[in-house]
Amino acid sequence: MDTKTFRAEENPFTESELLAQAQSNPDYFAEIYELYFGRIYAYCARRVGTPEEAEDLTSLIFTRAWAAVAKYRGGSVAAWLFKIAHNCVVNHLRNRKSFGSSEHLALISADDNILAELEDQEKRAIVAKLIAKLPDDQRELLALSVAGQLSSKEIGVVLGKGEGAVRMALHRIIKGLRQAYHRIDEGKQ
Amino acid sequence: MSKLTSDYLHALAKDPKATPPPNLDPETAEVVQTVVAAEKAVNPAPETELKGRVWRQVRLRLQAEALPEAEKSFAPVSPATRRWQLGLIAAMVIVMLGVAAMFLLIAQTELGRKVPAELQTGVVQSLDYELIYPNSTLLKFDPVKGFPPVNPASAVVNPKRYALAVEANLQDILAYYRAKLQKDGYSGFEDNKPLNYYYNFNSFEEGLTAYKDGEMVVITLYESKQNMFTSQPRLYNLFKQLQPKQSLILVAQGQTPKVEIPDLNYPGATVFSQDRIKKPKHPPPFDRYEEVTIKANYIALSTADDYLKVADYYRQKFNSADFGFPRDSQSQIENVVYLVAMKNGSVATLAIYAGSSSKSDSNTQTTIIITSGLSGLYNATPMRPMQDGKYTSAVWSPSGKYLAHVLENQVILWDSYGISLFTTITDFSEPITKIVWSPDSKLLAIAAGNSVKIWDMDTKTILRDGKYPGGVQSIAWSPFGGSTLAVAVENPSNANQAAQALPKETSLKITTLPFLGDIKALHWSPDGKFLATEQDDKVEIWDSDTKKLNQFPKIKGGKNSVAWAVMEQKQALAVQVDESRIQIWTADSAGTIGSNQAVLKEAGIAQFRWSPDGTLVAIAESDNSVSIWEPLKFRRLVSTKGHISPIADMAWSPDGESFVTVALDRTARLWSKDGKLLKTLDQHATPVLRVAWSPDGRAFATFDANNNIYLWQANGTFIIKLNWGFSREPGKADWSPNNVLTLVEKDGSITKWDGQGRSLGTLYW
Repeated sequence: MDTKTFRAEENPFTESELLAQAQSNPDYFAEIYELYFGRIYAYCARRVGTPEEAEDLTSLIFTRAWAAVAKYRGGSVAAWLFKIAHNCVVNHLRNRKSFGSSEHLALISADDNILAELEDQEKRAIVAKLIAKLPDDQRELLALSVAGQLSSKEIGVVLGKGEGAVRMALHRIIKGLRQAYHRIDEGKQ
Repeated sequence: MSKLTSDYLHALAKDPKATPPPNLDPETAEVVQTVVAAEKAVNPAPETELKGRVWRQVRLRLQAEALPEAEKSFAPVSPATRRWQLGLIAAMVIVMLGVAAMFLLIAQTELGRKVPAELQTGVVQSLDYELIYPNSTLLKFDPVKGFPPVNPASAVVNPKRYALAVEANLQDILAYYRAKLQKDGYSGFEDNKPLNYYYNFNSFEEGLTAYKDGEMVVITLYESKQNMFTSQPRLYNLFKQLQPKQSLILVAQGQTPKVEIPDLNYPGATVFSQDRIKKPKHPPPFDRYEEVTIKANYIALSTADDYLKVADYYRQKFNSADFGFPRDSQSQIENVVYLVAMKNGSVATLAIYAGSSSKSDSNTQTTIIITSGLSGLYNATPMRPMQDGKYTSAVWSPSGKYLAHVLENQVILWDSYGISLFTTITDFSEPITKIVWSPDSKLLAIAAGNSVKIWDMDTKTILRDGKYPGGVQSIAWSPFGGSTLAVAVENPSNANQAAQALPKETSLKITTLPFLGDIKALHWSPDGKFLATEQDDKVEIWDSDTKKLNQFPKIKGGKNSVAWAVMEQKQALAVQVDESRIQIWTADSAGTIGSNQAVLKEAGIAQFRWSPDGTLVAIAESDNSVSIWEPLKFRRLVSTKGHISPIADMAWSPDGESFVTVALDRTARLWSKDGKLLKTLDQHATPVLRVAWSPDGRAFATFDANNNIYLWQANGTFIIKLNWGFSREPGKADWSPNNVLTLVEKDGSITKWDGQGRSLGTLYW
């Protein structure tokens, strides 16, 4: 899964070539940073909750990635980078002393009243709460899929699982959320 | 089914408009849509500055974590293409060079070497007030230069300063000093974390501040090993003296500086109880200003007034106390105004929230949280002034790509995004007096003492190192004709010898000028064919082979009294000869010198400026009037009055359609090129000293005697007042070729704004 970069007119390299070049020339790593900053930051923000932590983790992830550039052995750059990201996030969550509700989460719940005004948004708010109650490994899977925009194959590389297992796990998450949502909806009616 | 579900999920993650696969049941598709929407709704959109800021953090982390893995080992990877293989070979050469450079760096910094004991001066017996850590040794250091720029120690008035080394961990040292100072009657303890939070990820820097009867003590601690590679060049000489495992202790003790903050209570507001006051956490970039290091004071208030009204009240309050606002922004999403007010290092940061922080208090409509005190950015140490030119200590390359920043005896290079290039040019034993970029931005010439070094941006090396025993007075790159650097030396008898010391190279020509006398400045003609040398009382014109062509008297001590322009395709040099005459010398493209040497006569000439196209000259006169001349026809087009005090500076707009004069009468005036007064700008409260147009001509900045910078649109519409509060030299701010207003501060920091006055961040070294 080696995609051409969106700056193809300036830079004829594929992502993995860029990364290989980055082993000697930091300018190429800057290109990788340019390409992946948004996805990595979104993934971190989704997993840790506060923008401050997400920012700190994002810089840590790219630092680790840069330092490990020489160890890259080809293959999907997204999977390689998100594997580093996944490890950093897991370590971070493990070391974090408290999971107290952050300002950011408070902001979401404060918005709930407004969300309730519209059916679609209400649905989304309920689903968001259901997602928040999912086990950590399932939330990780969703974060990698949506915020990280990774394919099942790439997620498999990141988590050390097969592509099929990832697909099945995602399917189960959706199925579980669908059932849980129905229960709430029926309860209301 | 699982494939359909996951495929649709992945597709939606990338494109919110993706359509579900036809075989996927609609209900599952709807759940997938809701899940993706819910996941995306949680993600805050990253603020615009975030990307650059995180990138800087990455670079700093790598630097702080000593040798990056990437540079330690180079493992070849399987090549995908032939082109790739070629790239790899080139890459290996680069890496080998990098490794060699690293070894050189290591050799130079003595990293990992055991430092000879004689560098340490022995155990200290006694000082006035005993703040020596037990069993520590005193290090050699320069008490003026040896402190980090952003540290409360810099703010101590009349400090005693010393540096110690000891084998102990930072927390133990900190605990020792805390106990000792407490026992000796010090109070008001504050932890000193590094201001720049990029350094915050490792606890290799610690410190504390304590107060007693108008005195203060600041203890700053470093773990040396971690800091060898961090950006603290001022401490380099100290780190160099440390034995392995030793920590560095910096002690500063002296008077507490005065903090000027107006009364910040809001009329009729309720003060929160002490236990509810906590230091506000502002989002970046405001968090930079939270670092109130001296006499920090926190107030939390609640009022029934609307938050915007409250914000206006504080704006007016600070305005009338002549504070400026480096930051003032309103977030409509969260309904909060962040306000930062500063004056001479005193800072107040205010967060004014719509709504109550307490559910029990139903009368509260607005919560105000204020931090005030002396900013951590404050620095009492003056910076060394550069010899000539208004570009005092930071110079943009003509391409706008690099910024060269002179800090003491070194030049630090930044790129245009504010990312350190990790290049510090040192080895200057004497103060740097001038730095100039070559027209192609590839070479940087640096004059210091009796040497001129030429730095090559491509190879990151000193390309030439010329020694001029008599000393160097000035340097200037020719705008064309290859890369010719003119060097004015003090002792002509050594000039030839000096020239020979620089090997000849076709691409780089160094011209030394054989004459006596103090050279104030060198001025190349726009086509690079002529060089004018400016002395205190005369100007000489040379051709590129250093043959003297002409000589004029020049008014003594004149300001901006020599300037080139291209007038009717001729190279034209205007020189203010005396108080009533400006002489213009011309030469055509073939080098033929014009027969008519135009003279413009006015009763009392204060200064003059060519219009950008060379067709007009604006003259400021000693009676505060301005006249516009057409030099080619020796005629005055118009003379006009406006200012009631002497004109301090003036500048044409880049399109030549208008010009601005600034004066001691506290006004700036915008004129059309035919001398019509377009607008009087009277917002300044003190004399206005300088004006500078942005290169794109969309804005101009005026600088007053009270450190305020006002930004204006080209038509004279007020944009914003900027105040940084430290620098007393308006020359320290200038526009980059890319229209970024750059201000170099005494503490070595560089602050940037765009043409609309929006902050582009601050660079710290």
